[in-house]
Amino acid sequence: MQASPQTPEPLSTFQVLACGAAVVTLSMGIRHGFGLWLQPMTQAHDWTRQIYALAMAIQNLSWGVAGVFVGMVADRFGAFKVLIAGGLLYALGLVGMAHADTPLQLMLSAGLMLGIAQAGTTYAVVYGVIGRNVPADRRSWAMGVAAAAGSFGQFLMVPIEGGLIDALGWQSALLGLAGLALLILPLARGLWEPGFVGGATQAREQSILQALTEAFRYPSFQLLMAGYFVCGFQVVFIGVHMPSYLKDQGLTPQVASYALALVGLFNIFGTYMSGALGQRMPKRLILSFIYFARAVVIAIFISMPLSPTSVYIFSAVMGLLWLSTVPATNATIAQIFGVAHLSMLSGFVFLSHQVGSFLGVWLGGYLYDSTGSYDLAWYLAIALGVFAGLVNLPVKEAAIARAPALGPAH
Amino acid sequence: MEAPGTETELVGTTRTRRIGWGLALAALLSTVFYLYSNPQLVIMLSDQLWACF
Repeated sequence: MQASPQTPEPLSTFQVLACGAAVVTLSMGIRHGFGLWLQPMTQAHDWTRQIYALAMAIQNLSWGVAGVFVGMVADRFGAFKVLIAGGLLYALGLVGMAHADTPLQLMLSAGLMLGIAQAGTTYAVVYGVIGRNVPADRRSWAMGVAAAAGSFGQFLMVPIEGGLIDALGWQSALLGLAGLALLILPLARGLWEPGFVGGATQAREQSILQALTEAFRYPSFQLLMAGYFVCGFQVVFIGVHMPSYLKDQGLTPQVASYALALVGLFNIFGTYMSGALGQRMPKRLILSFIYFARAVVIAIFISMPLSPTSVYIFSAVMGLLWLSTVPATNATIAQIFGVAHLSMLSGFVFLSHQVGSFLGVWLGGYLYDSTGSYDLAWYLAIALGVFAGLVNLPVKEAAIARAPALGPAH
Repeated sequence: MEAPGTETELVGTTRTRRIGWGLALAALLSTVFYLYSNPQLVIMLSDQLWACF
Protein backbone atom coordinates (compact mmCIF):
# COMPACT_ATOMS: atom_id res chain seq x y z
CA MET A 1 0.00 0.00 0.00
CA GLN A 2 1.11 3.57 -0.57
CA ALA A 3 3.08 5.11 2.21
CA SER A 4 1.42 8.48 2.06
CA PRO A 5 2.05 10.72 5.05
CA GLN A 6 -1.70 11.28 5.45
CA THR A 7 -3.51 8.29 4.12
CA PRO A 8 -6.82 9.56 2.71
CA GLU A 9 -10.10 7.79 3.34
CA PRO A 10 -10.72 5.12 0.72
CA LEU A 11 -13.75 5.37 -1.54
CA SER A 12 -16.74 3.24 -0.56
CA THR A 13 -16.86 -0.22 -2.09
CA PHE A 14 -20.34 0.47 -3.47
CA GLN A 15 -19.19 3.66 -5.20
CA VAL A 16 -16.11 2.00 -6.70
CA LEU A 17 -18.10 -0.97 -7.92
CA ALA A 18 -21.08 0.98 -9.27
CA CYS A 19 -18.94 3.42 -11.25
CA GLY A 20 -16.17 0.95 -12.18
CA ALA A 21 -18.65 -1.67 -13.37
CA ALA A 22 -20.55 0.90 -15.46
CA VAL A 23 -17.30 2.12 -17.07
CA VAL A 24 -16.21 -1.42 -17.95
CA THR A 25 -19.69 -2.31 -19.21
CA LEU A 26 -19.52 0.60 -21.66
CA SER A 27 -15.92 0.20 -22.77
CA MET A 28 -15.99 -3.58 -23.19
CA GLY A 29 -19.48 -3.53 -24.67
CA ILE A 30 -18.93 -0.87 -27.33
CA ARG A 31 -15.80 -2.54 -28.70
CA HIS A 32 -17.35 -5.99 -28.85
CA GLY A 33 -19.56 -5.21 -31.85
CA PHE A 34 -17.02 -3.51 -34.12
CA GLY A 35 -17.15 -6.43 -36.54
CA LEU A 36 -20.65 -5.32 -37.48
CA TRP A 37 -19.25 -2.26 -39.24
CA LEU A 38 -16.97 -4.16 -41.58
CA GLN A 39 -19.50 -4.73 -44.32
CA PRO A 40 -21.21 -1.31 -44.39
CA MET A 41 -17.96 0.64 -44.09
CA THR A 42 -16.03 -1.29 -46.71
CA GLN A 43 -18.96 -1.09 -49.11
CA ALA A 44 -19.44 2.64 -48.56
CA HIS A 45 -15.76 3.44 -49.18
CA ASP A 46 -15.05 0.68 -51.66
CA TRP A 47 -12.29 -0.64 -49.38
CA THR A 48 -11.05 -4.20 -49.21
CA ARG A 49 -11.74 -6.27 -46.11
CA GLN A 50 -8.03 -6.26 -45.37
CA ILE A 51 -8.08 -2.51 -44.74
CA TYR A 52 -10.73 -2.85 -42.05
CA ALA A 53 -9.02 -6.00 -40.81
CA LEU A 54 -5.72 -4.18 -40.40
CA ALA A 55 -7.40 -1.37 -38.45
CA MET A 56 -8.94 -3.91 -36.06
CA ALA A 57 -5.62 -5.71 -35.68
CA ILE A 58 -3.91 -2.38 -34.87
CA GLN A 59 -6.66 -1.69 -32.35
CA ASN A 60 -6.13 -4.99 -30.53
CA LEU A 61 -2.37 -4.68 -30.46
CA SER A 62 -2.52 -0.99 -29.41
CA TRP A 63 -4.85 -2.00 -26.59
CA GLY A 64 -2.34 -4.55 -25.37
CA VAL A 65 0.78 -2.39 -25.73
CA ALA A 66 -0.81 0.86 -24.49
CA GLY A 67 -2.22 -1.00 -21.49
CA VAL A 68 1.23 -1.24 -19.98
CA PHE A 69 1.96 2.49 -20.25
CA VAL A 70 -1.56 3.57 -19.36
CA GLY A 71 -1.27 1.36 -16.29
CA MET A 72 1.93 3.17 -15.27
CA VAL A 73 0.21 6.54 -15.60
CA ALA A 74 -2.87 5.34 -13.69
CA ASP A 75 -0.74 3.99 -10.84
CA ARG A 76 1.17 7.26 -10.61
CA PHE A 77 -1.47 9.93 -11.21
CA GLY A 78 -4.69 8.09 -10.43
CA ALA A 79 -7.30 6.36 -12.54
CA PHE A 80 -9.56 9.42 -12.76
CA LYS A 81 -7.34 11.34 -15.19
CA VAL A 82 -6.70 8.25 -17.27
CA LEU A 83 -10.43 7.48 -17.46
CA ILE A 84 -11.25 11.05 -18.51
CA ALA A 85 -8.61 10.95 -21.24
CA GLY A 86 -9.69 7.43 -22.22
CA GLY A 87 -13.37 8.36 -22.42
CA LEU A 88 -12.63 11.44 -24.55
CA LEU A 89 -10.33 9.45 -26.82
CA TYR A 90 -12.97 6.73 -27.14
CA ALA A 91 -15.56 9.27 -28.30
CA LEU A 92 -13.08 11.02 -30.62
CA GLY A 93 -11.97 7.72 -32.08
CA LEU A 94 -15.57 6.74 -32.84
CA VAL A 95 -16.27 10.14 -34.46
CA GLY A 96 -13.04 9.80 -36.44
CA MET A 97 -14.03 6.29 -37.51
CA ALA A 98 -17.43 7.57 -38.66
CA HIS A 99 -15.77 10.24 -40.82
CA ALA A 100 -12.69 8.35 -41.98
CA ASP A 101 -12.38 8.77 -45.74
CA THR A 102 -9.00 7.14 -46.25
CA PRO A 103 -7.47 3.90 -44.95
CA LEU A 104 -4.87 5.92 -43.00
CA GLN A 105 -7.61 7.83 -41.19
CA LEU A 106 -9.28 4.53 -40.34
CA MET A 107 -6.03 3.09 -38.96
CA LEU A 108 -5.49 6.17 -36.80
CA SER A 109 -9.06 6.44 -35.49
CA ALA A 110 -10.49 2.91 -35.31
CA GLY A 111 -7.06 1.40 -34.86
CA LEU A 112 -4.73 3.50 -32.76
CA MET A 113 -7.09 5.91 -30.96
CA LEU A 114 -9.67 3.30 -30.02
CA GLY A 115 -6.98 0.83 -28.98
CA ILE A 116 -5.41 3.34 -26.58
CA ALA A 117 -8.87 4.43 -25.40
CA GLN A 118 -9.75 0.85 -24.54
CA ALA A 119 -6.53 0.47 -22.60
CA GLY A 120 -7.49 3.54 -20.58
CA THR A 121 -11.04 2.48 -19.78
CA THR A 122 -10.99 -1.26 -19.17
CA TYR A 123 -9.96 -3.77 -16.52
CA ALA A 124 -6.38 -2.78 -15.71
CA VAL A 125 -7.24 0.82 -14.81
CA VAL A 126 -10.46 0.01 -12.95
CA TYR A 127 -8.77 -2.84 -11.06
CA GLY A 128 -6.19 -0.36 -9.82
CA VAL A 129 -8.97 1.66 -8.16
CA ILE A 130 -10.53 -1.49 -6.74
CA GLY A 131 -7.16 -2.61 -5.41
CA ARG A 132 -6.52 0.71 -3.66
CA ASN A 133 -9.98 1.14 -2.18
CA VAL A 134 -11.53 -2.25 -1.51
CA PRO A 135 -10.15 -4.16 1.49
CA ALA A 136 -8.09 -7.23 0.65
CA ASP A 137 -10.71 -9.54 2.13
CA ARG A 138 -13.23 -8.41 -0.49
CA ARG A 139 -10.89 -7.57 -3.37
CA SER A 140 -11.24 -10.75 -5.41
CA TRP A 141 -15.03 -10.61 -5.10
CA ALA A 142 -15.02 -6.95 -6.18
CA MET A 143 -12.86 -7.77 -9.20
CA GLY A 144 -15.33 -10.53 -10.04
CA VAL A 145 -18.17 -8.02 -9.99
CA ALA A 146 -16.28 -5.65 -12.33
CA ALA A 147 -15.38 -8.51 -14.69
CA ALA A 148 -19.00 -9.69 -14.70
CA ALA A 149 -20.02 -6.16 -15.67
CA GLY A 150 -17.62 -6.25 -18.62
CA SER A 151 -19.01 -9.62 -19.62
CA PHE A 152 -22.53 -8.20 -19.42
CA GLY A 153 -21.47 -5.29 -21.63
CA GLN A 154 -20.21 -7.69 -24.29
CA PHE A 155 -23.40 -9.73 -24.09
CA LEU A 156 -25.62 -6.65 -24.24
CA MET A 157 -24.01 -4.45 -26.85
CA VAL A 158 -23.69 -6.76 -29.87
CA PRO A 159 -27.43 -6.98 -30.62
CA ILE A 160 -27.91 -3.33 -29.65
CA GLU A 161 -25.20 -2.17 -32.05
CA GLY A 162 -26.69 -4.33 -34.79
CA GLY A 163 -30.06 -2.68 -34.13
CA LEU A 164 -28.47 0.79 -34.18
CA ILE A 165 -26.92 0.16 -37.60
CA ASP A 166 -30.27 -1.07 -38.92
CA ALA A 167 -32.15 1.90 -37.51
CA LEU A 168 -29.70 4.80 -38.01
CA GLY A 169 -27.21 3.65 -40.61
CA TRP A 170 -23.59 2.77 -39.85
CA GLN A 171 -22.28 6.33 -39.62
CA SER A 172 -24.91 7.70 -37.26
CA ALA A 173 -24.68 4.52 -35.21
CA LEU A 174 -20.98 5.26 -34.62
CA LEU A 175 -21.81 8.82 -33.57
CA GLY A 176 -24.43 7.44 -31.20
CA LEU A 177 -21.80 5.16 -29.68
CA ALA A 178 -19.48 8.18 -29.32
CA GLY A 179 -22.18 9.83 -27.20
CA LEU A 180 -22.45 6.65 -25.15
CA ALA A 181 -18.67 6.58 -24.64
CA LEU A 182 -18.83 10.10 -23.18
CA LEU A 183 -20.85 8.68 -20.28
CA ILE A 184 -17.51 7.34 -19.04
CA LEU A 185 -16.58 10.92 -18.06
CA PRO A 186 -19.20 11.48 -15.33
CA LEU A 187 -18.75 7.88 -14.19
CA ALA A 188 -15.01 8.51 -13.80
CA ARG A 189 -15.85 11.22 -11.25
CA GLY A 190 -17.03 8.45 -8.96
CA LEU A 191 -13.54 6.90 -9.18
CA TRP A 192 -11.74 10.11 -8.26
CA GLU A 193 -9.35 9.28 -5.42
CA PRO A 194 -8.45 12.03 -2.92
CA GLY A 195 -4.94 10.55 -2.58
CA PHE A 196 -4.06 11.82 -6.05
CA VAL A 197 -5.46 15.32 -5.56
CA GLY A 198 -3.72 18.38 -7.02
CA GLY A 199 -1.68 16.41 -9.48
CA ALA A 200 0.42 15.05 -6.61
CA THR A 201 1.56 11.49 -6.83
CA GLN A 202 1.28 9.12 -3.94
CA ALA A 203 4.54 8.07 -2.32
CA ARG A 204 5.43 4.55 -3.35
CA GLU A 205 7.83 2.02 -1.96
CA GLN A 206 9.20 1.03 -5.37
CA SER A 207 9.98 2.78 -8.60
CA ILE A 208 8.42 1.48 -11.82
CA LEU A 209 11.71 -0.15 -12.76
CA GLN A 210 12.05 -1.84 -9.38
CA ALA A 211 8.48 -3.12 -9.56
CA LEU A 212 9.00 -4.43 -13.08
CA THR A 213 12.30 -6.08 -12.24
CA GLU A 214 10.78 -7.71 -9.20
CA ALA A 215 7.74 -9.00 -11.14
CA PHE A 216 9.63 -10.34 -14.13
CA ARG A 217 12.17 -12.10 -11.93
CA TYR A 218 9.42 -13.73 -9.90
CA PRO A 219 8.51 -17.11 -11.44
CA SER A 220 4.86 -16.93 -10.39
CA PHE A 221 4.36 -13.76 -12.45
CA GLN A 222 5.79 -15.49 -15.50
CA LEU A 223 3.47 -18.45 -14.91
CA LEU A 224 0.45 -16.17 -14.62
CA MET A 225 1.43 -14.49 -17.90
CA ALA A 226 1.76 -17.88 -19.59
CA GLY A 227 -1.70 -18.88 -18.36
CA TYR A 228 -3.26 -15.63 -19.53
CA PHE A 229 -1.71 -16.13 -22.98
CA VAL A 230 -3.58 -19.44 -23.21
CA CYS A 231 -6.77 -17.78 -22.03
CA GLY A 232 -6.57 -15.29 -24.91
CA PHE A 233 -5.81 -18.04 -27.41
CA GLN A 234 -8.71 -20.29 -26.43
CA VAL A 235 -11.37 -17.65 -25.92
CA VAL A 236 -10.79 -15.79 -29.15
CA PHE A 237 -10.28 -18.95 -31.20
CA ILE A 238 -13.62 -20.33 -30.03
CA GLY A 239 -15.48 -17.01 -30.19
CA VAL A 240 -14.39 -16.27 -33.73
CA HIS A 241 -14.15 -19.69 -35.32
CA MET A 242 -16.91 -21.69 -33.66
CA PRO A 243 -19.76 -20.39 -35.84
CA SER A 244 -17.78 -21.34 -38.95
CA TYR A 245 -17.01 -24.74 -37.40
CA LEU A 246 -20.69 -25.36 -36.68
CA LYS A 247 -21.61 -24.26 -40.18
CA ASP A 248 -19.05 -26.73 -41.61
CA GLN A 249 -20.62 -29.49 -39.51
CA GLY A 250 -24.02 -28.79 -41.06
CA LEU A 251 -25.68 -27.03 -38.13
CA THR A 252 -27.99 -24.08 -38.74
CA PRO A 253 -27.01 -20.45 -38.15
CA GLN A 254 -29.64 -20.36 -35.40
CA VAL A 255 -27.61 -22.90 -33.41
CA ALA A 256 -24.44 -20.84 -33.79
CA SER A 257 -26.29 -17.71 -32.73
CA TYR A 258 -27.69 -19.27 -29.58
CA ALA A 259 -24.30 -20.84 -28.88
CA LEU A 260 -22.61 -17.43 -28.74
CA ALA A 261 -25.52 -16.03 -26.74
CA LEU A 262 -25.14 -18.84 -24.19
CA VAL A 263 -21.40 -18.22 -23.94
CA GLY A 264 -22.13 -14.53 -23.29
CA LEU A 265 -24.85 -15.24 -20.74
CA PHE A 266 -22.97 -17.84 -18.69
CA ASN A 267 -19.79 -15.78 -18.88
CA ILE A 268 -21.46 -13.22 -16.61
CA PHE A 269 -22.07 -15.82 -13.91
CA GLY A 270 -18.66 -17.46 -14.41
CA THR A 271 -16.68 -14.27 -13.89
CA TYR A 272 -18.69 -13.36 -10.81
CA MET A 273 -18.33 -16.82 -9.28
CA SER A 274 -14.60 -16.90 -9.96
CA GLY A 275 -14.11 -13.60 -8.14
CA ALA A 276 -16.30 -14.67 -5.22
CA LEU A 277 -14.59 -18.06 -4.90
CA GLY A 278 -11.18 -16.37 -4.99
CA GLN A 279 -12.07 -14.87 -1.64
CA ARG A 280 -12.44 -18.31 -0.08
CA MET A 281 -9.92 -20.59 -1.72
CA PRO A 282 -6.48 -20.39 -3.39
CA LYS A 283 -6.80 -18.57 -6.69
CA ARG A 284 -4.11 -20.69 -8.32
CA LEU A 285 -6.39 -23.70 -7.85
CA ILE A 286 -9.29 -21.81 -9.40
CA LEU A 287 -7.13 -20.90 -12.39
CA SER A 288 -5.81 -24.44 -12.76
CA PHE A 289 -9.33 -25.80 -12.57
CA ILE A 290 -10.54 -23.35 -15.23
CA TYR A 291 -7.79 -24.28 -17.69
CA PHE A 292 -8.03 -28.03 -17.07
CA ALA A 293 -11.81 -27.86 -17.33
CA ARG A 294 -11.57 -26.02 -20.65
CA ALA A 295 -9.28 -28.75 -22.00
CA VAL A 296 -11.64 -31.51 -20.84
CA VAL A 297 -14.77 -29.76 -22.12
CA ILE A 298 -13.23 -29.12 -25.54
CA ALA A 299 -12.00 -32.73 -25.76
CA ILE A 300 -15.46 -34.08 -24.94
CA PHE A 301 -17.11 -31.65 -27.32
CA ILE A 302 -15.05 -32.57 -30.37
CA SER A 303 -15.10 -36.31 -29.65
CA MET A 304 -18.88 -36.60 -29.17
CA PRO A 305 -21.42 -36.62 -32.01
CA LEU A 306 -22.37 -33.03 -32.75
CA SER A 307 -25.97 -31.94 -32.17
CA PRO A 308 -27.69 -28.71 -31.18
CA THR A 309 -27.95 -30.04 -27.62
CA SER A 310 -24.22 -30.82 -27.39
CA VAL A 311 -23.43 -27.36 -28.76
CA TYR A 312 -25.67 -25.66 -26.22
CA ILE A 313 -24.18 -27.63 -23.31
CA PHE A 314 -20.64 -26.91 -24.52
CA SER A 315 -21.43 -23.22 -24.91
CA ALA A 316 -22.97 -22.89 -21.45
CA VAL A 317 -20.05 -24.66 -19.75
CA MET A 318 -17.44 -22.76 -21.77
CA GLY A 319 -19.30 -19.55 -20.91
CA LEU A 320 -18.82 -20.29 -17.22
CA LEU A 321 -15.08 -20.70 -17.89
CA TRP A 322 -14.82 -17.81 -20.39
CA LEU A 323 -13.46 -14.66 -18.68
CA SER A 324 -13.45 -16.23 -15.23
CA THR A 325 -9.65 -16.10 -15.40
CA VAL A 326 -9.73 -12.27 -15.28
CA PRO A 327 -10.59 -11.65 -11.59
CA ALA A 328 -8.57 -14.65 -10.37
CA THR A 329 -5.43 -13.60 -12.29
CA ASN A 330 -5.59 -9.92 -11.33
CA ALA A 331 -6.46 -10.61 -7.70
CA THR A 332 -3.47 -12.96 -7.49
CA ILE A 333 -1.18 -10.23 -8.83
CA ALA A 334 -2.55 -7.78 -6.25
CA GLN A 335 -2.03 -10.35 -3.51
CA ILE A 336 1.58 -11.08 -4.49
CA PHE A 337 2.86 -7.63 -5.40
CA GLY A 338 0.47 -5.27 -3.61
CA VAL A 339 -1.57 -2.56 -5.32
CA ALA A 340 0.92 0.28 -5.86
CA HIS A 341 1.74 -0.91 -9.40
CA LEU A 342 -1.32 -3.07 -9.98
CA SER A 343 -2.56 -1.36 -13.17
CA MET A 344 0.87 -1.60 -14.81
CA LEU A 345 1.37 -5.26 -13.90
CA SER A 346 -2.20 -6.05 -15.00
CA GLY A 347 -1.33 -4.30 -18.25
CA PHE A 348 1.63 -6.61 -18.77
CA VAL A 349 -0.35 -9.82 -18.24
CA PHE A 350 -3.06 -8.43 -20.50
CA LEU A 351 -0.48 -7.84 -23.22
CA SER A 352 0.31 -11.54 -23.00
CA HIS A 353 -3.44 -12.25 -23.29
CA GLN A 354 -3.68 -10.12 -26.43
CA VAL A 355 -0.77 -11.89 -28.11
CA GLY A 356 -2.55 -15.18 -27.37
CA SER A 357 -5.79 -13.75 -28.78
CA PHE A 358 -4.08 -12.71 -31.98
CA LEU A 359 -2.55 -16.15 -32.39
CA GLY A 360 -5.87 -17.84 -31.61
CA VAL A 361 -7.64 -16.05 -34.43
CA TRP A 362 -4.80 -16.16 -36.90
CA LEU A 363 -3.59 -19.70 -36.25
CA GLY A 364 -7.16 -21.03 -36.24
CA GLY A 365 -7.68 -19.62 -39.71
CA TYR A 366 -4.23 -20.67 -40.91
CA LEU A 367 -4.61 -24.28 -39.75
CA TYR A 368 -8.08 -24.45 -41.26
CA ASP A 369 -6.81 -23.18 -44.61
CA SER A 370 -3.79 -25.54 -44.49
CA THR A 371 -5.58 -28.74 -43.45
CA GLY A 372 -9.20 -28.14 -44.42
CA SER A 373 -10.48 -28.65 -40.87
CA TYR A 374 -10.32 -27.21 -37.37
CA ASP A 375 -9.09 -30.47 -35.82
CA LEU A 376 -5.49 -29.34 -35.31
CA ALA A 377 -6.59 -26.03 -33.84
CA TRP A 378 -8.90 -27.81 -31.37
CA TYR A 379 -6.06 -30.19 -30.36
CA LEU A 380 -3.81 -27.20 -29.83
CA ALA A 381 -6.46 -25.55 -27.65
CA ILE A 382 -6.67 -28.73 -25.54
CA ALA A 383 -2.90 -29.05 -25.20
CA LEU A 384 -2.59 -25.39 -24.21
CA GLY A 385 -5.38 -25.84 -21.66
CA VAL A 386 -3.46 -28.68 -19.99
CA PHE A 387 -0.27 -26.62 -20.12
CA ALA A 388 -1.95 -23.60 -18.49
CA GLY A 389 -3.58 -25.81 -15.87
CA LEU A 390 -0.18 -27.22 -14.94
CA VAL A 391 1.72 -23.93 -14.88
CA ASN A 392 -0.79 -22.31 -12.55
CA LEU A 393 -0.46 -25.02 -9.91
CA PRO A 394 2.95 -23.91 -8.55
CA VAL A 395 2.02 -20.20 -8.43
CA LYS A 396 2.86 -18.75 -5.01
CA GLU A 397 0.04 -16.47 -3.93
CA ALA A 398 1.53 -15.17 -0.71
CA ALA A 399 2.74 -11.56 -0.58
CA ILE A 400 6.26 -11.35 -1.94
CA ALA A 401 8.99 -11.07 0.69
CA ARG A 402 10.87 -7.78 0.35
CA ALA A 403 13.74 -6.12 2.16
CA PRO A 404 12.72 -4.98 5.67
CA ALA A 405 12.79 -1.30 4.64
CA LEU A 406 10.08 -1.97 2.08
CA GLY A 407 7.97 -4.45 4.01
CA PRO A 408 5.83 -7.17 2.47
CA ALA A 409 3.41 -6.41 -0.33
CA HIS A 410 -0.19 -5.94 0.77
CA MET B 1 -36.59 -0.41 22.61
CA GLU B 2 -37.32 -2.30 19.41
CA ALA B 3 -40.89 -3.05 18.59
CA PRO B 4 -41.71 -6.77 18.49
CA GLY B 5 -41.34 -8.23 15.03
CA THR B 6 -38.95 -5.55 13.76
CA GLU B 7 -36.14 -8.01 13.12
CA THR B 8 -38.49 -10.38 11.31
CA GLU B 9 -39.77 -7.52 9.19
CA LEU B 10 -36.20 -6.49 8.35
CA VAL B 11 -35.30 -10.02 7.24
CA GLY B 12 -38.49 -10.15 5.19
CA THR B 13 -37.73 -6.82 3.52
CA THR B 14 -34.17 -7.89 2.69
CA ARG B 15 -35.42 -11.14 1.21
CA THR B 16 -38.10 -9.36 -0.81
CA ARG B 17 -35.52 -6.90 -2.07
CA ARG B 18 -33.16 -9.71 -3.09
CA ILE B 19 -35.94 -11.57 -4.90
CA GLY B 20 -36.88 -8.33 -6.66
CA TRP B 21 -33.32 -7.71 -7.82
CA GLY B 22 -33.01 -11.33 -8.91
CA LEU B 23 -36.20 -11.15 -10.96
CA ALA B 24 -35.16 -7.85 -12.53
CA LEU B 25 -31.76 -9.31 -13.47
CA ALA B 26 -33.36 -12.45 -14.90
CA ALA B 27 -35.78 -10.33 -16.96
CA LEU B 28 -32.92 -8.17 -18.29
CA LEU B 29 -30.75 -11.13 -19.25
CA SER B 30 -33.69 -12.93 -20.87
CA THR B 31 -34.50 -9.85 -22.94
CA VAL B 32 -30.90 -9.58 -24.18
CA PHE B 33 -30.83 -13.32 -24.90
CA TYR B 34 -33.99 -12.89 -26.99
CA LEU B 35 -32.17 -10.28 -29.10
CA TYR B 36 -29.81 -13.04 -30.22
CA SER B 37 -32.70 -14.90 -31.85
CA ASN B 38 -31.75 -13.08 -35.04
CA PRO B 39 -29.02 -15.52 -36.10
CA GLN B 40 -27.68 -13.45 -38.98
CA LEU B 41 -26.44 -10.83 -36.57
CA VAL B 42 -24.05 -13.06 -34.68
CA ILE B 43 -23.04 -15.13 -37.70
CA MET B 44 -22.16 -11.96 -39.57
CA LEU B 45 -20.15 -10.70 -36.61
CA SER B 46 -18.09 -13.84 -36.26
CA ASP B 47 -17.57 -14.23 -40.01
CA GLN B 48 -16.39 -10.67 -40.26
CA LEU B 49 -14.07 -10.94 -37.30
CA TRP B 50 -12.57 -14.04 -38.81
CA ALA B 51 -12.01 -12.16 -42.03
CA CYS B 52 -9.97 -9.66 -40.05
CA PHE B 53 -7.03 -12.02 -39.72
